[in-house]
Amino acid sequence: MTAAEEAAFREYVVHRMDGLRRLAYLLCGDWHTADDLVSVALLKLMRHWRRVSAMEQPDAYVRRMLLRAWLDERRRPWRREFPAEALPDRAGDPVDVATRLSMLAQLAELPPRRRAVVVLRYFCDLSVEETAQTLGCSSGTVKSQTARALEALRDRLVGVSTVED
Amino acid sequence: MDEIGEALRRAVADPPPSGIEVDALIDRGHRAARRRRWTTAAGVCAAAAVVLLGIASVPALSGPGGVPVGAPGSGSATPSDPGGTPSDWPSGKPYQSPQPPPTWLPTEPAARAVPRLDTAFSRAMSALYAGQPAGRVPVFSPALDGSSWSDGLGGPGVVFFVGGPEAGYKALLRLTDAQGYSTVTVILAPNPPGSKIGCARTDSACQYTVQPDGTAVVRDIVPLTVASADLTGGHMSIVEVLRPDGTHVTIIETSDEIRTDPGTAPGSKGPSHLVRTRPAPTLTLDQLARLAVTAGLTLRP
Repeated sequence: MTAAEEAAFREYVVHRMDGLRRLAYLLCGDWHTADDLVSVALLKLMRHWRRVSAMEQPDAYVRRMLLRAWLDERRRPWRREFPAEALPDRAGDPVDVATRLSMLAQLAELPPRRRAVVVLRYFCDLSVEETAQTLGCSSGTVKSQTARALEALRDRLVGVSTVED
Repeated sequence: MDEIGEALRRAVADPPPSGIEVDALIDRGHRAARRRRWTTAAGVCAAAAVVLLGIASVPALSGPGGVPVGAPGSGSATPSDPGGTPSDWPSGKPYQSPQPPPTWLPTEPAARAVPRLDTAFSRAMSALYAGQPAGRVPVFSPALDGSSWSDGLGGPGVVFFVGGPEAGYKALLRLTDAQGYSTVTVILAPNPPGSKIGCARTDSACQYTVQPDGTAVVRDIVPLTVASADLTGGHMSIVEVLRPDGTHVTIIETSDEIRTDPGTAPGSKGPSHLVRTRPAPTLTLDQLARLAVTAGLTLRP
């Protein structure tokens, strides 16, 4: 990697780090793991930086690597999630806490790929086709996964809205 | 739909400070790249050492009267030096022996040997597939892209290239058909009188036979392995022939290839992969043996 390439890589990382961490957190539900996933994805990106930086949409490539890192991480036995009744308490704005915890709890209950579909479609604002490309599946699969995920999420969010009202 | 997106954004509205330091991350990336380069280099060196050691060790299994490789007078380490390899041989310069070459070394000039060997091998290949439909006959051509064989090809259309009449002759060619291609290496080296070959391993995969005219033939399939665990699983078919005139013919065929990705830095190399270029080698061990015992493939015509 030349000095110019390293400078370009550094600039990309600084500008995208925040968004990637948020995406990783929505996928895994833990900020420490999110940082690990982002590190893994960025190291892979650095390795292939010359090729990726020449792409039209390097962000799509990085998202794909992040998703792959997360799915790989989940396969490791020591990373398997343990069922819990509720997420641990966290300090924060009391108005937002209910929605946030509800959202994270609901996301955590979704199967990995369905969770990824929701995050990519509604957090990253990707189209069905872009989501399918990122996940390496068909558009039909994305649509069906989205429908099932929304069915579960919508009920919970309506419940939260009612409580807030 | 919007409320789900909004809920997701609110869920990550106030992230804690990042635990990732960009400088440390880039340092890690550089370290990993260096480690990959070293691992690849070590793997390639190990593979080359395994192949060369395997080739060199079989003639070394000489029985009574045989001459081990590297021993004085073996001709394998420095054929022109009966006293062994001098430790102060400057690299990159031809070794000037203070003594005349042994009498058993071939005397045919390379300019005459190369086309003769080329013709003999081409005819042997044609004979191997005589009467076969054209579609079942592989096309053989010099594998010009063999970077490890960059010490000079004989020229366009010439299969054999020169290592010298003392060191012998080598060829690297490719057999291509509808199923893919395999790579064949042919090595002709002079051996001193009384040399013997045999199976380097004791398992049943290796076969040693002696023909009525005294030609010894070894057929074997050996693993193509390197230090990296990712590059196991490849195989090489090897046939060795030692003629009564001392010509040692080695033919190696493999349909497994080690490919190295380009690295991120200019001129650097990335990780290596084992690629199967054909479901199986194009030629059987018997076919390789028929090629190796071809009458013209000798250093003493």
